[in-house]
Amino acid sequence: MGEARNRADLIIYWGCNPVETHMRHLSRYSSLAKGLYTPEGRKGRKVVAIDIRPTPTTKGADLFLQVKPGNTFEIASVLRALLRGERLEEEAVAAVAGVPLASWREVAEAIKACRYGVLFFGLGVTQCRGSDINVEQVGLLIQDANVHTRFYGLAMRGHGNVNGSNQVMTWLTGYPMSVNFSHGFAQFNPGEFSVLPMLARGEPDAALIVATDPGAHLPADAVRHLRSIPTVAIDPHKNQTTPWATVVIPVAPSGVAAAGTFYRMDNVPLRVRKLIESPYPSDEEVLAAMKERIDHALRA
Amino acid sequence: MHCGPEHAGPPAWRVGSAREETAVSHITGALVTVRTAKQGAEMESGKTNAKYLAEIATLRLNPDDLTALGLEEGGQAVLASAHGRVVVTCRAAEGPRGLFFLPLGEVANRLCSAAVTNGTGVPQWKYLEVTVSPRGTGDDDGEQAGGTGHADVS
Repeated sequence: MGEARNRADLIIYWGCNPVETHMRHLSRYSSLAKGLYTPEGRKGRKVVAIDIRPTPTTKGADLFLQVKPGNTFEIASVLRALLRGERLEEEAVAAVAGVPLASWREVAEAIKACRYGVLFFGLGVTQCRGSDINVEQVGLLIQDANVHTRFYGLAMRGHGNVNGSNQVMTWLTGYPMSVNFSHGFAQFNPGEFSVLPMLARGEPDAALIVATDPGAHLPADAVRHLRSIPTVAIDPHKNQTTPWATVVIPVAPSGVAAAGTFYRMDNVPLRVRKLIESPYPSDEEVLAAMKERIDHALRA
Repeated sequence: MHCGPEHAGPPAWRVGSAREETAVSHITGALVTVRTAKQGAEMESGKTNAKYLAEIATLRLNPDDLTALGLEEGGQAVLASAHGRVVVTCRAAEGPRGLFFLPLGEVANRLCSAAVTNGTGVPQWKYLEVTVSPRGTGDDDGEQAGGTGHADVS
């Protein structure tokens, strides 16, 4: 994000709305930020927005392409074709995702003409029909853009340090998430081992819930299964899981009453400090104590 | 500059039979869950506070859809999917007809299913076929309002 701040003269927001979701992002790192080679800030940057509806982010863009939902793969494909110089006839490809080919040409030309471009993409891209294959095509689009100029892509992650668990799982197992150890070795297949298919099949018979709120953020049938099994919730806050969890262990919030490391969404680790005292232990201390007791029980 | 169709709604967009002379009984379209600034801010102050619970039950839809349903700003509607139904408060917002936007949270999650992830492990948070109808029509009477927390999940 430092690169985006200091160098980017083209910013593309696709399927994301950082004005509402990442409020400091624009002024600190992207379209509004003034940096070493971007002293004019917003004036020196071209901003393109691609979304299925107008949002505060699209209103601040120089060019807004309002697309039909479910067309991420097609959009990435047409932009790749244009960047690679493939011949596309206006008569044959009049519009992609409801937007005329001429507008996609304009985006492709902006990519070719920029000194340093950054594509910020959100859940509108990653959770669109096709899911992982979309992300692969967007990755290939970024590769194609790098034939012409320097171009970078970054997923707009959600909660603070949501990247942290991906980092740790990756260095431990080689996989970023949805890792299943039930056979004694690490297996990865999100469509089978993410929390939802597991709960839909009714497989888990106990759950340890750390710093997340399935009561608010998982589908009702998944919550129904969680509520039928023993659950331990470790969280600094009262949320929509703590009222029904079998055991709730309150902990000190990291970065406020406990030190630790947060991974920013561009994979930069940031050390956070303890600012105030808390009567509660950190989540690290709680998990370490639980692990010690499990180890002790296994040795007994 | 703004490029795109006037109505970028999904092909499945359609309206139900006339309830009154000017209103339709329901509209079938797609639900897209989103973050809103208010949802994000109120979530940090606590997921049990009234403002958060009201925000996650506030549906944004095209003003023409709102009028077609015979509803006014702030009117209540029933949102139904194959997996559940909830009562929401309607707010007119920019966007194509037939696309409905609800902040992520427990209300939207009553419409999704863990069993339907199309092989991705993630539910249909960004495109779920739903029907919107004004509250108090036909079999929708007596629905419990959305945003009541966990109490009616089980």
